[in-house]
Amino acid sequence: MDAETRKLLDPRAIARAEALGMNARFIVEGYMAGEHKSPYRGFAIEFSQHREYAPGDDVRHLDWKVQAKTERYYIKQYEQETNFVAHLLLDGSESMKYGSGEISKLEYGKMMAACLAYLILHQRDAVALGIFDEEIREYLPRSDNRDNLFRIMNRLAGFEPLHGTRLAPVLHGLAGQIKRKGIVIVISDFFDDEEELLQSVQHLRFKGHEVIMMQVLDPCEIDFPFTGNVEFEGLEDLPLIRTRPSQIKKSYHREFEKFRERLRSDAERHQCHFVEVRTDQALDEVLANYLTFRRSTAG
Amino acid sequence: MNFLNQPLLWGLTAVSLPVLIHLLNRRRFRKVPWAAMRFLKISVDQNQRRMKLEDWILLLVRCAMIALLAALMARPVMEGLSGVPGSKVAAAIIVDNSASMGTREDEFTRLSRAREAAHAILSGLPDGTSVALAGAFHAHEASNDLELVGSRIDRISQTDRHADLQHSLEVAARALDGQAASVKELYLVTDAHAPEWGSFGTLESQLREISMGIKVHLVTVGAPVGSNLAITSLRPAAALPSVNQPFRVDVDVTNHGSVSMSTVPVQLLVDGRPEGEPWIIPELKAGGRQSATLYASLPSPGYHRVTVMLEGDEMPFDDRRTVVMNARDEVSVLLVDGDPGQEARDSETFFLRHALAPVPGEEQADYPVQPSVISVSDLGGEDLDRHHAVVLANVADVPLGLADRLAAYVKAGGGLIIFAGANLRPESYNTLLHRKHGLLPVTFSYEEEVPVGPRRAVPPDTNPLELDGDLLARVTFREALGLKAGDMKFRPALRYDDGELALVESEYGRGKVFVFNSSVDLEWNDFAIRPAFVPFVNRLLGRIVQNREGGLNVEAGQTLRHRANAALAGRPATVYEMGDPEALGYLTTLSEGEGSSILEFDRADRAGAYQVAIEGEAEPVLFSVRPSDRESTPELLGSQQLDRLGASVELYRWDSDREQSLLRKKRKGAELWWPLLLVVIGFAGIEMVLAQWFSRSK
Repeated sequence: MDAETRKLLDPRAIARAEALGMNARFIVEGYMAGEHKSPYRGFAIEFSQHREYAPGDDVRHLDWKVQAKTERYYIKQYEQETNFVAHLLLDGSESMKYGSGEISKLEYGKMMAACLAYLILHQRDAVALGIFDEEIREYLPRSDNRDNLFRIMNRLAGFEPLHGTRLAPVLHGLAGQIKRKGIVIVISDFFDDEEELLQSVQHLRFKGHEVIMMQVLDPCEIDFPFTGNVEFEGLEDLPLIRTRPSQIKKSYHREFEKFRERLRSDAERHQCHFVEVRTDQALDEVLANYLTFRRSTAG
Repeated sequence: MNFLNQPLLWGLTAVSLPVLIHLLNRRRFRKVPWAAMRFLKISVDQNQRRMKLEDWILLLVRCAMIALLAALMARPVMEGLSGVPGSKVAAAIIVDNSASMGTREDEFTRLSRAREAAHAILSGLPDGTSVALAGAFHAHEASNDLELVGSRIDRISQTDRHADLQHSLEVAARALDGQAASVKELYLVTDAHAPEWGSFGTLESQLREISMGIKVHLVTVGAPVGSNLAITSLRPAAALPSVNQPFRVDVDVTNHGSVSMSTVPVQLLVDGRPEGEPWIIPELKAGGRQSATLYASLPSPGYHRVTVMLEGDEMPFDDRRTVVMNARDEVSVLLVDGDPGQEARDSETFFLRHALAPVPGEEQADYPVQPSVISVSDLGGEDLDRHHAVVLANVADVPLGLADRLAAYVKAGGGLIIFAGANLRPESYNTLLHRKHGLLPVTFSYEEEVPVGPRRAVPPDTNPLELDGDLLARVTFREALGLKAGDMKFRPALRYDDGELALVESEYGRGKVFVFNSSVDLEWNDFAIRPAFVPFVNRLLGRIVQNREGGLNVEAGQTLRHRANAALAGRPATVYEMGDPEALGYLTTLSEGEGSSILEFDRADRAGAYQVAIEGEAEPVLFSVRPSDRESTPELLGSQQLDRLGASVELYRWDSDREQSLLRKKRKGAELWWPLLLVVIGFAGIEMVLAQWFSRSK
């Protein structure tokens, strides 16, 4: 692990999240199924049931005994204690390049993705990573192998944004591709068409995925503290805007707040978790708060 | 609408400044890369029109503010407008009415031009202006009634005085400093006569200092004149003016002009009537002076005006000069002989009596000076007040009673002359006359202190008796008592060639005292038989008699101070200018002085004769006023000097039509700067409020 990739793992965030996340498995399961066993079916130790073989299934799990008796191919299914797959989707569009302080939204999102991947893999759960803008630019299939973490890190560290955002087609595509139900964690500023975005989220939900929307925003985008004459240069090839920000601050706040509020309420309507993150917030605090929240809602 | 500072209208170009700043600001933007463009665009679209409108409004307000400020500094004036608060002006107008302002140009004098200019200045001042008007010598209280001030301008009268412009400016500036008005203006209307600006540097720096807080305008009138003949001295050579006794009048005439004058007649007048033929001065070169000698006699006892005059020129004030002389029927002198001798010729007073009345015996009765000789023993029964002077000639002692009588007599105006001699014993003189009464200003010292050897007498530099030094040099003084000065004031009138005092003069009350420390006969000197003796004796007597009329001839502007009989103290008196039948009389009151009453008069501004009528007195007192000699030079300030003054004051030539109209136009109507200032302040306030309001986040 080189220095660049190592930077993505925030030791404090991981330490604090681990302290809470020892029970991550429990939290995930509890959230999904209360105190009962996980409804997920995987390939762990305890046999659960048979199901008919379908092309693409691993032939290693064929129950040859049943085949001998019935001349049909059945796959053995096992109940597994932990078997969730987390799909980490990071917005790598140009709008994520913005950062008023030391860190841009993309860098923050990368760190957040890295930390989550570490935590999930550390619990022997599987993680898949996708980095997208107008389409998926980088993709690592799910894997519970801890060695996968290094690949994830490398991909995150090596990514440079070049294009604009089109979230909806990406999420629609993923909803169609991901076979297994899991948790889809979308890390983005969501500066895209809200209606299309929510339709794609709805698509994921329809496929049975839990969707967690993590909106990463820069403090300046929220507070809009500019004064004097300012020429705003759009990061996604949008035309320049020259104005005196102090004179439109309230109007901006109003519009921006409306956008956030719509996202928040629509996410809730589709039973998604919506998490707002400011890049000036400590990452450990963000993760800890969210895990605490999940724990409390898991009851 | 007119502007008093039109060049400042160029300031209107500053209106472009806000536009330039606005345009420059539009070019200066801080660049910020931005992600949330969508929300920014919505906000900008919503507010764009409003922001543009606000920009335009602010720009217009700022431009208007600068335009108004430029107009304000150019001092706009609206004709026919009055009652505007900003037009409150305090002005002081000084009209120079010194002697040179009487210079004639065509049918006008410089003063009449100055009055015109003052009226023009007055008409340009806005209603309600407080105006303090002053001549060069007398100032009026400031008044808001411009009509009253206008009538005062007309009453500013010509004087024959030398102006003290520095003082006039100081008084006017002080008066303006005390005014609450926000605009203060000082106008000096003068002929810029060079002698009045004698200390040019001082006056220039004074004007510069004044102009720091007050707008100073110098309005000059009059053009230079090429020639001026002036009577610069008039000296009647009569120690004792007497009725029908011819006396000589010496007159000095000076050519102050730049060209020679020929055949200059000088006419003498007594009481306004020509006396004989004029004296003709054949040629008088430029800058030169010549004397003329004329003869006159006074026809009757009492005061007479003796006047000399030249043919009038452009500067008339110095073409005539008058002195007042008091002719007497008889001057009585009491000679107290301390050493009568056996023969008349041995008498101590023999030579003195003949010197006082130097005419044959049969003519002595008609001679104006009437000496009478008595012995010391007869002095007790003599009425001293009948005599103009008392002479103690070699009188041994002054008894106590006599000392008291002499002191009272001199205090009331009498004259006392003491001659020393071998009989005189200093003790009683020193004790009673010096220490007790202070009548003697010096003490006699004893013989052993007196230097031995023949000496000559010399008049001091001041030579109050106007004695001829050459004649005096022929006199040998062998003996004399010493004279010792004490704390009392006296004037040395004659000294010996070794520096010792010979004759001293002092005043006592209204009277005069002379002390001579040698004899008046031939015992201690040969003075009495020398030609210097007669004039010496007559001058002594003349000084005593003239002392009573002392101060009757003064320079214009000086205060007349005449000592009269003590009984007149408190009486009212009226002073008339004799040359001007329309002149009003000035009322005054005689005040009480030491042993006398005092007549004081400080309004003698015109040259000529004045008459004082004292209540209860049958005969009026006359006095004369001569013009200031310093005014006779016709030179005016040069263009270089005026240019120097122009650095701190505004200059106008009243003789120039263009500048005349400029001066009239300048202050016509009401100034609008004060209301404009309020509008500018209002705009500044609006600009601040709008800028705050518009920059609020919306």
